[in-house]
Parts: sequence; structure tokens; C-alpha cells
Amino acid sequence: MKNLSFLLLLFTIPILTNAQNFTLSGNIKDAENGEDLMGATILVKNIPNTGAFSNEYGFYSLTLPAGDHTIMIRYIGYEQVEKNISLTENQNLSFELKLDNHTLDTIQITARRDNENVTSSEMGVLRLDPREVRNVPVLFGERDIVKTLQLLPGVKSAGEGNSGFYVRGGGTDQNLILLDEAPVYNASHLLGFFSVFNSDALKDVTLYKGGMPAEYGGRASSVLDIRMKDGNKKRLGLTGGIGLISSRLTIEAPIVKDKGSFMVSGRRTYADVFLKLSKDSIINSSTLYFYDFNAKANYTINDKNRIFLSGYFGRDVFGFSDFFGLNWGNATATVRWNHLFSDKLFSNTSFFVSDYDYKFFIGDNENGFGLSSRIQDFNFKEDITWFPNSRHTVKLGGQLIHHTFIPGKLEVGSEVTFRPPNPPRRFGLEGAVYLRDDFRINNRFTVNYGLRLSTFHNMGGVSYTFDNEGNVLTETNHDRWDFFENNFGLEPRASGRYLVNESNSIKASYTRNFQYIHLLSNSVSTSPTDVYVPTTNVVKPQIADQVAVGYFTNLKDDMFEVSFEAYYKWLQNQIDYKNGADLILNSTVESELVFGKGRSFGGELLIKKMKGKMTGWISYTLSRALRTFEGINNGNEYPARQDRIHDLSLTLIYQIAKRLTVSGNFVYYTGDAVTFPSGRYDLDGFTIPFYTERNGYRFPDYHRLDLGIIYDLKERKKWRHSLSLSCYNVYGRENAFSITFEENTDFPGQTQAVRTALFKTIPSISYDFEF
Amino acid sequence: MKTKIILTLLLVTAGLFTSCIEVIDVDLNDSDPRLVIEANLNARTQQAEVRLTRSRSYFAVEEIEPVNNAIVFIDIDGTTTSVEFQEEGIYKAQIPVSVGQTATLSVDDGGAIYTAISEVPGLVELDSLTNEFVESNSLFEGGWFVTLHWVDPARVPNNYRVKISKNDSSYNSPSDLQVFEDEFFDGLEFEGSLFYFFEGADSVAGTPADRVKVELISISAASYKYYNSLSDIIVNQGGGSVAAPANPVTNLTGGALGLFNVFQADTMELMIGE
Repeated sequence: MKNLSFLLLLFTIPILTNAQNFTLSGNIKDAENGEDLMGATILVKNIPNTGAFSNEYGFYSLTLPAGDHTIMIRYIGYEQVEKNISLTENQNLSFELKLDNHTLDTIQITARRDNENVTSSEMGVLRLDPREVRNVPVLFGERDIVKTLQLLPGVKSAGEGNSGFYVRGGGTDQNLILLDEAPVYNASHLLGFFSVFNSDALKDVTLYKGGMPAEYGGRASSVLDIRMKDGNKKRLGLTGGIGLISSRLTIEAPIVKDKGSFMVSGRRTYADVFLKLSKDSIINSSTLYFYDFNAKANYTINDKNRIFLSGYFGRDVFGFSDFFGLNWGNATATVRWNHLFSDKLFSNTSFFVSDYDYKFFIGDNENGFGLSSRIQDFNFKEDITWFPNSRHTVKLGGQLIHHTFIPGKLEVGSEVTFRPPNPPRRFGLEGAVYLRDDFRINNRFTVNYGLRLSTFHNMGGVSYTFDNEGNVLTETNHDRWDFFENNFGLEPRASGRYLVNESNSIKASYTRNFQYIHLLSNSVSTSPTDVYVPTTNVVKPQIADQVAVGYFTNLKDDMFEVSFEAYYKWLQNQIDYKNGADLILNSTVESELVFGKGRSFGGELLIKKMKGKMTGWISYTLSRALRTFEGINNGNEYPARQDRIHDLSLTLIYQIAKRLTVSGNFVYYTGDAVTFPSGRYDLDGFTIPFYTERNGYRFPDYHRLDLGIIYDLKERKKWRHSLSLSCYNVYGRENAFSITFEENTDFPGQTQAVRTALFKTIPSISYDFEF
Repeated sequence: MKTKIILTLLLVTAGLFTSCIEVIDVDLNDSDPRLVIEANLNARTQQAEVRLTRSRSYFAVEEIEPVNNAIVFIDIDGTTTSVEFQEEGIYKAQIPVSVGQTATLSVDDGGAIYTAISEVPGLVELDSLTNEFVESNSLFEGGWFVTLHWVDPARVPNNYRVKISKNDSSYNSPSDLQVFEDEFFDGLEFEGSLFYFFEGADSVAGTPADRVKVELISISAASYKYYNSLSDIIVNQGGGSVAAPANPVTNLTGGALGLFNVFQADTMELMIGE
């Protein structure tokens, strides 16, 4: 009986505990540029194990007994601040932290506080400070947060040089990629070789591989939450660089000092400048470039209200003269309003828009044709954080998304006789409400538990039913605001931590995610012509369940961080398409699909050296990713393409001298699972490969070594600049991008295997500056 | 189509940087040989020709193995005709058949039975062939190109395959396999330009004009599905850059490879420059 009441005490949120408690709240900022510091630790020195963290807007709230306290603020890379306070009423106290000059010389990696790894209740989370990415050598010297994430356990590249990624055996379309809360549908440029994220414009990057808190939802495998910089609130700042492929410039400045600021950032490639030099009129009138534009502004109206506006616009443009062209891009816009109802109740209201489209044309106005497709989202989101006391942080909220899908629109030239019907537009309404509590039960136990209820409704457009052969049985037209096919999903989330001691902890989590929007793609890399379909009467929502356990430890005074996580994931209602399926301009694309299930499991080891002249990490993942579809591989389970059993990356950054840093990556993984022919036959004059098992073969194992040198040039006043040299694939390993089978043109009737390797040794140079 | 464009773009992009193409050794499993049925029934000439062979290991250099002692029948709405063995795996018969009927093929290969059903498509005739001269530019060398003209029968699904030959040698590389359906031009007068360039007579060099033969073949929906999925496989011979390849969609049951193709063809010829 005694135990029971203890349990009840544990799980009841004490609303009115002690009348003598007061709330300390405020914001944590960077002293130099006024950027909000998210995830800073606020500790009460005289009451052990009491504290709070600043949220994504730098806000914290901590309820303490009346009396004298010593408050300590810690954030990695910044000087620690201590302040004695006498709490006799609710108090607003903001802090500005100074960058720790000592740590500027050495390099600190990927954590907000020294022992976050061990003490946080989160697991399956990878966090990057975009500034840290600068030391890791990359392809063409284009720094890319996504490519740095691919060097961490559980995250795999979608292919050579590709910015698409697989998380814990999921597909590239099962990642929810958010830029200032707005989803980005195609996060890659130049057919996947670069991500759309210009790291100069970013503040914080968090990837949830599992155990995602209940405020996130909508994709089966992961959440990549990217936040843009707010802009320098103190003075004008310039950041930029000139590289082989592109140049970038970011300008930030206060609007009103300490109250508001803005940031604009641009990046553009210039390969097409060289095309202009060609004498050939087709080549010099061809185009090949991409650009990104990020902008953000924020303004603090008063102590209780703050607004943010942010946007992204980026496009890829390809064209051969006026004969052939392809361009695509994303646009997002976010408006946010932070409001403090009280010093314990923080609210954020967001309205945001995402738009992704591609356009393709071939031929001229008379005989040509053009194809375009688009997906457009309007979002409303409300999040309320309640800090009832120092043991609970409760978050609740809701979201409503209106989706418009334009699966394909064909326009033909004036001389073309046929007039194709365009597939109908489709609309969907996605909603969610959630509640979660981050509960510090006692010094050892912390749980973060919550529940998300998601819904998806088809509305308007046309719906079809099909027979077993895929022929249309019925076709129903719906009014624009007619809701039909209502889907509901209950998504429990929980993760917990048991602290063995200050440097050892054990964690466990369970997550369920529903995904209502599906990507159909017949190419391996992220392609601009990918087709998105909503959940319908035929296409069921994808469901992913994941359990994970982990052991986390820090060694040698937090110098080394070690973590081991094991996971098992079940995927339901996975989608593939029938052999010979026609995905483009197909009104009834659902009839071309097949449905199956998947599972993936694995273990991930990460050893990081966090401090000192030499920093870096070793990441090793042992995992499987398997799929089962009726009608594929005779219904037997087969490996997914990304079933890379071993995946090892080693990244080292060594500061040789004050101005000189060298770095290196080594990457090794088991070759992709692929389908090769097991025989051939001749028919109608063609040599035809004959396939037996799906993904029954492997590419040769992948490995490569990259090296980089960064030399910090002499500083002038506040102008800091550096020169970086890097070399991708130093020893020129010819990793297979594809292996194709074809007839030998010299000996007709004989066949051969041909391997295409994309990037052999690629050196690059770039100059970067910061003011 | 989409895959081809993407692949081209990828190669162009990669070519801008570096890329390296090399013939390599790959160790492939040898599947058990399977029966390959290439069955054609020309409903216009009423001729049936069935060619039976076996699949080989992928890198095999030995000759194709014909299957000579199978029993082959074609049934048209209940009337069964035996298709007689001729030589080297080839079986032939003369079979009366007309539009709207259903043709059923059965092959008995040493006790293993394979069957396929096909509708008999109607004949669509070519109206005319025209040709037009296009100047060269830096994307392609100019020359004469040929346009087909025909009227698609309205309100019925039609499927077509086009075969071309120049001076009696047919175009037969994987990219020459051209099939399409009338989904977007049902009932319309259709003009289809061929992306091939031909040469007219050259009085200086003393060469004659090219003689171009075009076959407009009306095929069944099943044959369209087969050739369409076959094209995906043979053009991008699988293995990495595109999603997992699979065998073409066939109307044959029992695990045989190949197709039972019932068709009607119309042929026209054109001397370039006339």
C-alpha cells in the first residue's frame, strides 16, 4: 500500500505543491551576436539535480522554493556563468554567454553540455552545430550537414556523393526534413549531390533516428529538424566563401539593437559560367546551376511577445539550349509568434507554407511538350510548453496541414495533335494533437512520455476503386470540401533514462510513427521527377514501430563519449510498384502499386573524442534492412537496397598548430543489395537478362578516404578568414555507382558487366571568411 | 522514358566531374534453364510461328539450345490447331482467326504445360508516310526524318508497335523497341515522327536515296505490357542506377519466359526525298 501511494505520487503532476515557490524565467543568448542558445543548462548549485534547459527559442523557466540560490548556466563552448539570486517573487532573469576563447583554439564537437550524452533522457538523437561541419572534408569542398550526418551511426548515404539518407533501414522518403518547421520535400540539388542546406545560414541541426518526442510526426523513420540562424542582434556580420562549385554570402545585422535582427544568405553554383566560354552555340546557351536563398527576421515586441519570419527558396535549372530543360525547387515560408502567457506557460504559434515543384520540357512551342508537377502544403501549428515545477516540462499542441497534390500536368505544343487529359488534383487534410511530459522522477530516473493522435482525410478530387487486375471499377467525383477516407493513428512515444552514476546511463525507448504521404520513385537517387501520393482507399498509411535500448558512458572527465544503441523496427504498409508500372501522368497510379512489410534491426556504436587537439569519432553500425512483398521474390523476405550489413566511419580532426588543422574521413560499408541477372535468353532479336531473386547480389564493398587541411589566415580586426584544401577519395577507389549488363558491341551475342564509378580522386579548394 | 531522362542527366552531371566506366568480372549464379516461348500469331496473314529455346547462363558463349520435341497448340474460340515442328525450335501453322476472337496457346514441354491467352487486336492501317529535311545543329546531325500518319479508331483501346528498316536492314537495338498506347490520342488523326535520320540521294557521291520501310503493328494490351516492361529492362540493363529490375510482364503461365503475341501489321515504304 505504501508502494502504491509512492507510485501515485510519482505519476501525479503536483500543480499546487508549495505556496512558497517562485518562478525564475528568461532567455539565454550568445553575448557576441545575440543568437538564442537552445539547450543550455540552467542549474541550481545549492539544490542538487535541479535545473532546466532552454528551449528552441532560448527560453527557460524554473520553479524553485523561495530563498537564496546560486544559479549556474552552462553551454558547451561558452564561458560558464554563476549568479547569486534571492528569490522572493517571480523573477525574470536573462543571461548572455560569452564564447570561451580557450575552446576557439581547440575543437569541441556536437554536444550542448559536457555530459548531455549520458544525462539526457533522449536517445537515437544526433545533433550538429553547423559550425563544426567546417572541419570535415567533403566532396568538392561543399560543406554539407547531411553528409556529415551520414558519417554517424544509423545514418547511411543514399549513394556515392548523395545527400539523400537512410535512417535505421528506412527509405529516403521516410525522413521528415523540417527547415524552421516547414517540411522540405526534395532536399537535394543536382540530382542528389548536394543538399539544399547552406550551413552558413543554419543554427542547429537535430536528427531523431528514433524516440522522437510527440510533437514530431508524419514520417515513418526519422525527423531532421533544422533551424536557421536568427541574425546578429549586436552588429553587422558577414560570412561567406568562394569554392570550386559555388560561392556563398550571408549578411546579418540588428534591426533594432538587442530587439530585432535579420539574416539573408545566398549560395549559387557557377558551372554554367564555364559553359558560356564554349564556341558551340548549343553549349554556350545551355544552363546548369542551382541556388539557395535563406532569409530570416525576428523582433522582440516586448517581454511577452516575439515574432519570427523566415523563408527559403532554392532551384535547380538544367537546359540544353532551348531544346530541353528541367528545373525544380522548394520554397518554404514560416511565420512564428512566441507568447508568454505567464512565466510558466510558453506558447509558439506557427503558420507555414511548403511548395515543391518541377517542370520539364522538350522540343519547341510547336512540336514539344512540357510536364510539371507540384506539391503544396499550408500548415498551422500551435505548441504550448508548461513548466509546472522543476520536475515536469509538459508540452501540448496540435497541427493542421492542407496538402495539394498536382501529380502531373502535360502541356503540348501547338502542332501536336494529341491532347492528354491531366490527372486530377488531389487534396488531403492532415491533423495531429499531442501531449507529452518530460518527467524527472528522481535523481536517477527520467522519462519522456507522450501520445500523438494523427489523422488524414482525403478531400475533393476523384477517388477510384479497382478490381484485382488493377482495372477501375468505380470512379467517384467529390466536392472540394467533401471529406472521405478518414484515417486515424494513435502514436505512443516514450523514452526513459536510468542514471547509474554521473557518467553512465541506460536508456530505452518505444516510438510509433504514421506516414500519410508516400513517394513513388523508380530511380535510386532522389530525383526531381519523383511522384508523391497521399493515403487513399487503396494506399494505407505506413506505420513504423521501433524499440531501442542503449548504454551511454563518458570517460576521462567527459573527454570521451561512448554510446551503444540497439534497435528493432517493424514497418507496415510499405509501398513498391508493379513491374512495368507507369508512374507519370497516371490518374490511377494506385493500381500500379503493391504493398508489403519490412523490418530492420541493428546495433550502433559511437565513440567520440570531445576535447583536446585531436577530436573526432568512430562510428560502426551492424544492421539489416529487410522487406517482404507478395509477388516480389516469390513472397520471400529480401534485403532492401540499403541493407548494408557493416557500416564504419572514422573522422579525425587534428589541430597541428594554432592556425593549421588537418582532418580525415574513412568510410567503409558493405555493398548495396542489388538485382543482377541469373541467366539470359534471346527473343525478337534482343538479348534479355533473366532475373530470379530480388536484391540477391551485392555491389563490391564501398570504401574511400578523404583528407582536408584548413589554414587560418592572419586575422585583421574582426575579419577571420581561412583557406581549405580537401581531397575526396584520396586513393581513387572506383566505387560502383551502377553495374549494368549489356551485349558486347565488338562480339555480338556475348554479354558483359560494366561498372560505372562516379568520383575518383577529387581535390578542391575554398576560401572562407567571417566578419 | 522518365528513367532514361534521369539517367542521361546523371551521366551528363557526372561527366562534368569525373566518371569511370569499366568492364568488370561479376560472379553470377546460373539459374536452371527455363523454357523461352516466342509465339507470334499474325492475324492478318493467319500465320502462327512459335520459337522454343532455353535460357542460358548470363555470360554463356555457347549456342542457343532449341527445343524440338514440344507439342504446341493454338486454340481459337474452341477450334484447336496443332502448330507443327519445322526445324531448330521453330513450329508453324496456318490458323484462321479474326478480330474479337480469343487465342489460347498451349505448349507441352516434356510434360510441363505452359499456356497463354490473348485477344485478337484489330488492324489499323497507315494512311501515308511523309519525309522532311532538317538542318544540322550541334545537338544532332541533320538529315531526313520520316513521319507516319494514321487515324486511331475511336473509343477502343489500341496498342501499337512500330518497326523500321532501312534498305532491308531492320533497326533492332534496345532503344528501337517502340511501343505505345492510344490513351492520349484516342480517335485522333495521329502523326508520329521517328527520331531517325535518313539520307537522300547524293548525285556527287553517286549514292542512292535510303529506302525506308515502316511497319505499324497493332498489338494486344498484353503484348504492350510485355514490350513496355521489356524496354525498361533492356535499355537500362538493371543493376544499380535504377530501382530493382524484374522480368517483363508476360501473358504466359507456368513460369516460361517470353510472350504469346497476336498482332496485325500494316507496312509502307518510302524512298527518301520523294
